[in-house]
Amino acid sequence: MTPATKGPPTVTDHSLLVTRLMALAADDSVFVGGARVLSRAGLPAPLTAIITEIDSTVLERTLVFDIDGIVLRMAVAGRRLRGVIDIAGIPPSATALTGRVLAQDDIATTKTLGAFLADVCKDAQQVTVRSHPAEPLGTPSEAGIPAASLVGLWQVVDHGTGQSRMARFLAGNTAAIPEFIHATAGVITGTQGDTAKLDPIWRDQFMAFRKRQQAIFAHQDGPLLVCLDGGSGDGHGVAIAMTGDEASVFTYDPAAISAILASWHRIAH
Amino acid sequence: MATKALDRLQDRYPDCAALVFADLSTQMALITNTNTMFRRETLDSLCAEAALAFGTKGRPAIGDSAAMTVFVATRDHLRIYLRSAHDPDDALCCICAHDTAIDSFVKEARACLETISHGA
Repeated sequence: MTPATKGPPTVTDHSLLVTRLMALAADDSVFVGGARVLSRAGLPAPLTAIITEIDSTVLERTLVFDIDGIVLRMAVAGRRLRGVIDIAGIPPSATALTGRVLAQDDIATTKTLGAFLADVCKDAQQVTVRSHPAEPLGTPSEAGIPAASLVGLWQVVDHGTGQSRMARFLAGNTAAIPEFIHATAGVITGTQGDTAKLDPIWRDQFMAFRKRQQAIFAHQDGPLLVCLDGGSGDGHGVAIAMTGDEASVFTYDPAAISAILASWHRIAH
Repeated sequence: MATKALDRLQDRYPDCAALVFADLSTQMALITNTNTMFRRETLDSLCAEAALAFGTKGRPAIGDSAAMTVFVATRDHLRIYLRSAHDPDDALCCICAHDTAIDSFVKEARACLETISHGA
């Protein structure tokens, strides 16, 4: 800093400082133009990611969410959404939802906001957030709606977008996964591509492998992904995956293994 | 020499908690990096899982063609198994972190494996 710029920190300085501190504290986060990426290509589910962000915000802040160019500034404090300050990048009709504090005795407004956000988030490719100093909205006694309540009011379940974890994983990696079999509770619920090579794996090898593997690591629970780089004989790898009561068998491009593992890690955690 | 090669690899990827040179035919851990914190039973389990995944007697456990690299992602770890091109019974079993730089790690781990396999 040059002497000419010395002096009391300004609001802008504080914002830069907060951004830098957040970047340092969250070393596995991805930043785009100073904004932290919450969701990419639907992973994790954008609306779920937004609620999670609200749930992580204890101090009074203005969270600026950018959902594919639609920018919402939300007043958040004490893990509650107090309200939407303003929205940019959409037709003016949605501004009816802005500038008011959400209240427990006016659940309809919160639900309307949820429906609006669900629509905006439906096909969102990227959601980012910036944390800015709090701006006034309502009175301090108006606490807003807890993030935990938003989950129910906005009907956000674990699957977020309505797709299951496995479906989101497969859909999020279509470029690298040319063929798959997707099953839920043992019943095939979806396929893609020519599954002739995958059928015998699903029918004869999947459970046999799983049982033998469980005998080796008896206390291993939770999601599992196993990728073999040369299993299909045509240059593609083969993989099996399971999470909850869902399972899949798929071929994949070995060159994309890093992206596939990263995508799975996001799904599974 | 083999231990030093594993230690060098671990120095480059400190998040990899275990690097084990194993014999798939006997499913035995032969050499590990110096500072692995895992018990012998866990290392043996790694070898058993590698043998299971790569298959025995030319029959892979999954698919119909032999694999040279297997990735097993669990909630806690990413286990990576590499089979030697020099001797298909030689393997490197690795317990890595989920954020390990996969592409570069696999490249360096394979070079390490082949060096050890040639010298064994």
